[in-house]
Amino acid sequence: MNAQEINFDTNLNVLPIRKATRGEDRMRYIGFPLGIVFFLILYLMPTPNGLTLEAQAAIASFALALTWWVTEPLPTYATSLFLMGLLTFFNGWPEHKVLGVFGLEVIWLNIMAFILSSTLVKSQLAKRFALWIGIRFGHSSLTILGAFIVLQLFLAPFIPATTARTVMVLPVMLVIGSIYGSTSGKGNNFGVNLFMQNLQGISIFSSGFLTGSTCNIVAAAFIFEMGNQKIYYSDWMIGMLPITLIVMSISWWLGPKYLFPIKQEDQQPKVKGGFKVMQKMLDDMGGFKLAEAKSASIFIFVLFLWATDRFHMGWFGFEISAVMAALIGVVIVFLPKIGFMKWNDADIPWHVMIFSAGAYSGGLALFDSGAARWLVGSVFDMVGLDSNLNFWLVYIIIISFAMYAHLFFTSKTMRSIVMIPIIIAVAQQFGFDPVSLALPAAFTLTWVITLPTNAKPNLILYSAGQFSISDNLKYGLTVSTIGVVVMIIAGFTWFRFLGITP
Amino acid sequence: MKRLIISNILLAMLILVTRSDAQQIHSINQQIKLAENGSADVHLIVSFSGNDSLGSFQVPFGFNEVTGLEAYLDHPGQAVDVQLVMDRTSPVLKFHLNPGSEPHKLYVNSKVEHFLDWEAAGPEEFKTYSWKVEYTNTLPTRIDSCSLNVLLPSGWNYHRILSSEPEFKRKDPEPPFTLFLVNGRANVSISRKSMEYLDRITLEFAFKNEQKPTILITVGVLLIALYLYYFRNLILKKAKVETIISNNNNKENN
Repeated sequence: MNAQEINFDTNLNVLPIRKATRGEDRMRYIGFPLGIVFFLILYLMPTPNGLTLEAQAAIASFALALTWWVTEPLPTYATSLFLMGLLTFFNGWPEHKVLGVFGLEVIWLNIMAFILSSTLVKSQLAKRFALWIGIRFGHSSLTILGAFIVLQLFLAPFIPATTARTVMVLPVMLVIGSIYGSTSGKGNNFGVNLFMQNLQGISIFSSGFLTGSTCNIVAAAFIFEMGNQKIYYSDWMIGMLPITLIVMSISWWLGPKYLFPIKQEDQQPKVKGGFKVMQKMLDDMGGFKLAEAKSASIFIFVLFLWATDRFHMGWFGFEISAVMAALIGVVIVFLPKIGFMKWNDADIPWHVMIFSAGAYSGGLALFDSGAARWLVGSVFDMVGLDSNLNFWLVYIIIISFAMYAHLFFTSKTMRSIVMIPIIIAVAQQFGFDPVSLALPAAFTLTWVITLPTNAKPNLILYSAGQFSISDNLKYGLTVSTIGVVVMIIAGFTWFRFLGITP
Repeated sequence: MKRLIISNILLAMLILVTRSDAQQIHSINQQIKLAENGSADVHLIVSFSGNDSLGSFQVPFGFNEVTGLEAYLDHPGQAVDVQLVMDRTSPVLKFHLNPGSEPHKLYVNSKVEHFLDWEAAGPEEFKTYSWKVEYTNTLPTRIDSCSLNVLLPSGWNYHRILSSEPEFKRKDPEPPFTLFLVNGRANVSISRKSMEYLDRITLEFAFKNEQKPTILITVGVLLIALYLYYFRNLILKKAKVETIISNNNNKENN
């Protein structure tokens, strides 16, 4: 690849054309009928005890969509639209609510974040940073992958908004991927590892800090209110941060070595002339340009607002939400003379927005109809949690459930609201300390790493077209399972040492 | 005049205090069994304790007109004289009994002929009907706990609980109501603790016939068959390509 062929443009609004593998084609062929069969069984079966008809329709519709998202007989955005139709026509959620999802904060935040991300590309700041990081750490694929993991670790405590972290790093990742020969629709295993490890880093490192995500704070609040025990920032960090480091280290090693082995030729930058050319490109860029300075200033300003959200009330008398902070940045970007972008420069993947809207309408329908609460309760009933069970068996069941629950419930905060009180109640019923079960379960809430629909960052990264849903499923399930094993070992050792488990 | 008003207020307060002291309602469990014709069997279980001088006992009731009103004290053999009377503008059940100061249970059975007005209830979109049931404590006596159960006719099920009092807020860990089946019939139960004067317990719900269109099976099978036929290339095409490659390899080997 010549230096000129490196893709410094994100082009996220254009859907990449990927050639499916034989396995993917088979999945597609089976997936369509499977989704319909799931829907028919779940929708037509007698309404189970404790469930409303609306909740039953929501579960059936979501099961079909989940099957189709994973197997992709239809493009993911088409499945999302289909799901929105199913929810409406089968009365799983009212039409105005289904359509209203597109006006939710999450969609707006995505749109604003993509525009902000485009400023980094348009100003060429992303190119400069990518070239620098490539030259500094790019001598082997493993070191550059490691550099991104360290970057995510340092960003996590400062920027709680996972979308913000994603948007900051995405343009750099795209350029680095391109340098290593992995582009949208023509990806290689370096690209898969790069994107998947960042996806995991963003979510998993959020669990290392109490303020890493709203769901952590909600969980700590429930433990305090229902379990009467206060969880401090340091309790959370000392408990969970070492676990995140262990799991991310395993993932960093496992991915490129075994799950998605990087070919020898893909382990070095594919630019003809190697690092010298990259250095020359960096030199050719010259000094810091005005557009780069503007882009950096706006981005730092928005990051500042994101990072200081807890102080806004004291400073301004009101809180500037994440989406409004991004909106302020976007307005500045488009201002004549002050800004430096026009609408055509904004790279917004609308197909991902549609995909997100469908995924969120499905998830919200499950929550709003009471289906999510019913599913959680039913699973606990099904596995036969009763007071005769040994603590460690209950611990293993709860950790496993909490870890894999993200496959079905799209919102972390909702999962926190639904699951943590039930777990505290289970602990109290069996005479266990609520913290011993609820806190380890809360540690897993942000591990939303298995499907693009699990979280906003996943959707954003998926939009780059560098990995497929089955890649995500394979890597995500593996790391989630490793997470369960590490959490179980920690329960016997580290958590016990800290006094979390008995 | 001023003295008269003050003395009237004091008298009213005295009456209220005396009445609330005379009877103590520990719990009221109300069950409404809806029938397809719009009537409903209303059953009440009232757990209470009075005092030795108590000659009558009152319980708030939500319906002006009932038929077949009957009541028992503690067990079905011990019938109690009961009347539906108006206390100011609110209907109450007045029991004539002298149970002593021990805690007792009263079992009340009645039938409300026009409980559900089907025409007013719907049908709305997707053939759903909606209705609201409420129970208000219209007496100054505090009710320690109260529950309300609504059992739908056989073959009908709850589509959605539209609103309730106590209210279910988005961030509450659990709703104040629970849904469960009673002998195969859909039931919703809501409860609240400590009902003071004019406190309410309400349930507004949408419900519909459980019968689902079986034509969906035919449509589903048809869609599956069409897909498997028109997209068979997904499993055939690559196989052909692989056969060709394999044949070529064989030729090279030969």
